[in-house]
Amino acid sequence: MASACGVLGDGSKPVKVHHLIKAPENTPESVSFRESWDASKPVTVYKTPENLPDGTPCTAATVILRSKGCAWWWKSGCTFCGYFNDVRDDVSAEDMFSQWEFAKKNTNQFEDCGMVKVYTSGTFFEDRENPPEWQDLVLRETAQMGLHLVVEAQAQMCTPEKISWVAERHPGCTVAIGLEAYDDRVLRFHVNKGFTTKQWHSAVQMLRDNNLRVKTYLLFKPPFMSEGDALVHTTSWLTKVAPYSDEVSVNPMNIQKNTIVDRLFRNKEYRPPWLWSLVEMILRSHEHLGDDSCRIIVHPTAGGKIRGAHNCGECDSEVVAAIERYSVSGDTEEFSHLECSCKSHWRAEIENDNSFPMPLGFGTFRRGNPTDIVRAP
Amino acid sequence: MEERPLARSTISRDRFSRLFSIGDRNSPESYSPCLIIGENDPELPISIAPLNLKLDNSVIPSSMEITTRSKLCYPFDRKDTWTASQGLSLPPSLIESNSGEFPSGVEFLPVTWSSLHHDSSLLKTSFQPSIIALMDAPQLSKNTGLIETALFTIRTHFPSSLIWAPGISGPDNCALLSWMGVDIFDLARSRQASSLGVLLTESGPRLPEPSTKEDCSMVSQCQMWTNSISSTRSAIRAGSLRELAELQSKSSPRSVEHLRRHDQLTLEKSGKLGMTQSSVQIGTQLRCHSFESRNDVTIRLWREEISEKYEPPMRMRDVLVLLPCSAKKPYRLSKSHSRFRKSIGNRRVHEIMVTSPLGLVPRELEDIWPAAHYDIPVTGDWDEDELSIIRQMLSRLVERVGYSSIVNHSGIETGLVGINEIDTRKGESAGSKDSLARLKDAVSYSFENESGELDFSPREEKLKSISRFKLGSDEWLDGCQIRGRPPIFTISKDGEQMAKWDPRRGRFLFSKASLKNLWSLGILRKVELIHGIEWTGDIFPNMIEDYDPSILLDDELAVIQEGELLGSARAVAPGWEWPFGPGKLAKSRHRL
Repeated sequence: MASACGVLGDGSKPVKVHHLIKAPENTPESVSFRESWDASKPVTVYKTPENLPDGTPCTAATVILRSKGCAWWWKSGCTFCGYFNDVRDDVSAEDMFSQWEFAKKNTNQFEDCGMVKVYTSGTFFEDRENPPEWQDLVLRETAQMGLHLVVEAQAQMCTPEKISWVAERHPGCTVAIGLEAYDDRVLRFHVNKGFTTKQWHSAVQMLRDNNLRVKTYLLFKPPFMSEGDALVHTTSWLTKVAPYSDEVSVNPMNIQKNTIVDRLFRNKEYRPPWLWSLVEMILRSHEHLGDDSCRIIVHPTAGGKIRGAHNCGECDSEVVAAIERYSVSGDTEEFSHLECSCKSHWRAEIENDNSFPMPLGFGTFRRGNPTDIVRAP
Repeated sequence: MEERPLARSTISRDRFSRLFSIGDRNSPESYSPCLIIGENDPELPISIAPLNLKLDNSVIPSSMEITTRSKLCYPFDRKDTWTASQGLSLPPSLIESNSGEFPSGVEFLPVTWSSLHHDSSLLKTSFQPSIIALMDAPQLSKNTGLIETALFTIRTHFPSSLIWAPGISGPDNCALLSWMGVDIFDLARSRQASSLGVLLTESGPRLPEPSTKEDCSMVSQCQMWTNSISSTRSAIRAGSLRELAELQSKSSPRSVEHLRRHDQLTLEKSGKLGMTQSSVQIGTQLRCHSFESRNDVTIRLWREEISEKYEPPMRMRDVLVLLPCSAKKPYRLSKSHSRFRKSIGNRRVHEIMVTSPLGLVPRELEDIWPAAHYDIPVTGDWDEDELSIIRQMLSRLVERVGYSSIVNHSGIETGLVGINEIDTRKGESAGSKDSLARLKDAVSYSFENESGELDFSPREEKLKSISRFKLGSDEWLDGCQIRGRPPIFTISKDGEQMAKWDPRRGRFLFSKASLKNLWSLGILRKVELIHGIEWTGDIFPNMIEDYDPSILLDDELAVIQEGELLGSARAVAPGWEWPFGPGKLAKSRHRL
């Protein structure tokens, strides 16, 4: 970080992005929200259709727990992550066991489920975040129940000892790593991720060595990036990380409360991606990767809503449904019937982003009267 | 290969806009304001679009190339290419932080709100890139006051550079952006309009009209651009860009906001930085046809200076006569004013015209810019804003001067209390027989009880008043003789001509003989030449050691070197363009 001032500067030293990320955590509103919830119950438990590693369709239960959160967040944090809203440092081991019991009871011991996803807003097997005895219980119980387990981790938290410890307790389970971007500059600047692509490769190798499955998350349209750049780069990242992954889940940005992205969104400096961009990314990467490699999953969280990936408002539900269907079927035919007049609007935005120097994007409102959309900004 | 600058010469200027010829000045192939086109844009004539942009976003940060579409850089032997890197950009709202990797380039320099705040390399203003692109213009334009500040800052720090604000321009705001200092536009918004079935015209976006077989293709959008750029260039030449900018601003609420904020910003900066002009060419008109005209810095500075700075002639500070304005300028040439003056028949009264948007115009100042040049639509009714401005100005002036009585022939209620005021209109027209008779009586009545001092020269008082108002002092006129047939006066001292008063231009034309006195009295703004250089020809950026940033266009400047007065020159560029402006900054006049 330079400390000098430019023509508009007032002489003050610039702060690190880290400070801007952390600031909202300590607002009275955030503190009061975190203190309002009951730590003995998970954030949510729900079931969705999924595919088992061999491609067999199944039902998956997702359990999102209230934990102490992510060790990286304690130090710094990612620009887009609002999970700090759901974590608190006084969550005890007893609470974690209680939440797990609640989830089992709520799903009747994961009845009819072939898979369970256990998400802790951090790294599942990081001992500072989650009690080891609780990790042990979840790993063993899910293995005993014959459920395929999916847990999440940060790449830098993966150590050979811990990965083999996990593999011993639940062989073949899936570890999902939020890589977000296969570009060290983006990881450092746009995402503030806390690890590098080299660390990710190292973590992937550890998982492979222990016969665990690798799921990679990518983020579509990180902050400080235009729609056009997001389409070009995420497509490229997807094709590059797929050979190292069993599954790649591309998460289109959704605006989580009190994050940097939320701040940009409120200042009209950031818009979540177009659904058309997701379709285009899938088509381009699918063509490049062919059918035989890893599975590509896209779940547009808050899809069609203004704080999630969205289009003109007319076609959103249809496009979201097609993307969801593709995530299960892997068939690009899901998109063949999609058409809407807003597609040319999206295409113009991509072309503008790719033609002129607007690193934060040209994007304007996508909904409403076309004449008003075009009116001088 | 070293990047070569774009050859550009100023053809005409209007506030922050300039009409530049681009390429060989003997046969320019293009001009700015102009368009830059991207790889997928339609072909446009070089006269409209002299530049091409190619962007490579395969690697972060993206890189860019601008290529001239013809031989536009000296010695005009090939097309030129300039490269730049976008760096990593944080959005304007995160201004407390910086990315540590600023945009960079030489002849093509991209900047952002963040780099303007944090990149110290931009402080080296002696280098003026050919083109500066404000890359986060789309975001800045959506946040209150940012785009105006960014453009003003770039414009005044890099007066020779062509400014481009990607993604925000259209045929509907090209004149407005040009007024704010933008030189280069692009087709991004037109492309968006085309995709939405809308035609982006000079007067705003609208649906194509089927009965005239209009369409929204890019060919049609480009035609709109050609029309708009032609109008903008023509208006810069004519000095009427403000009118066009006001007209265009009406098509979008954001544009109105930008113009208002730009007006406020220029007013705030005008105390230190010269932006306006001290006199104008014969025939220039200031057409104030819309509400927005009232906010222009020329109008607001007039109102402020009359209220706070203006001092009436010493012998005319007793009785104030308020008169209505006239369509004819200067007012004294109108029939109505000729009748008023006949009825007044007393040279000790101080005549002030009540008007809009200038508020008040003292009689002695009626020849100068902009009092002799403005034009407004007249309906016979004042709006509340106009009345409020007039009342505030009058209240402040009366308080400062201390008139003993007011003869109010203007027809407006002044709202003044504690002062003897005679209404001579009584609801009738200003030119009616009875009104004029009441005016005559009121003036006579006001002087009934005292003889007053009549032994003074009204022409001297007038010139002194003008000098105080325009130059800040009238001391140089002490001991001068004023001759000539009104309104043209010759001012001499000890038989030697010091100056001429040119009422048609509203300015003093100073003689060589007056310069030493004017300089010693601190009346002239200065330009100091670099030690050791020989002053030949006009004043150019490479000759300047120091200067007064408040220089106004058309000011007479004292040319100084090593503390000695060498002569004078007339500013052809206002202070904001100094010292690194494009080409000639002042034209030499006298050498001692």
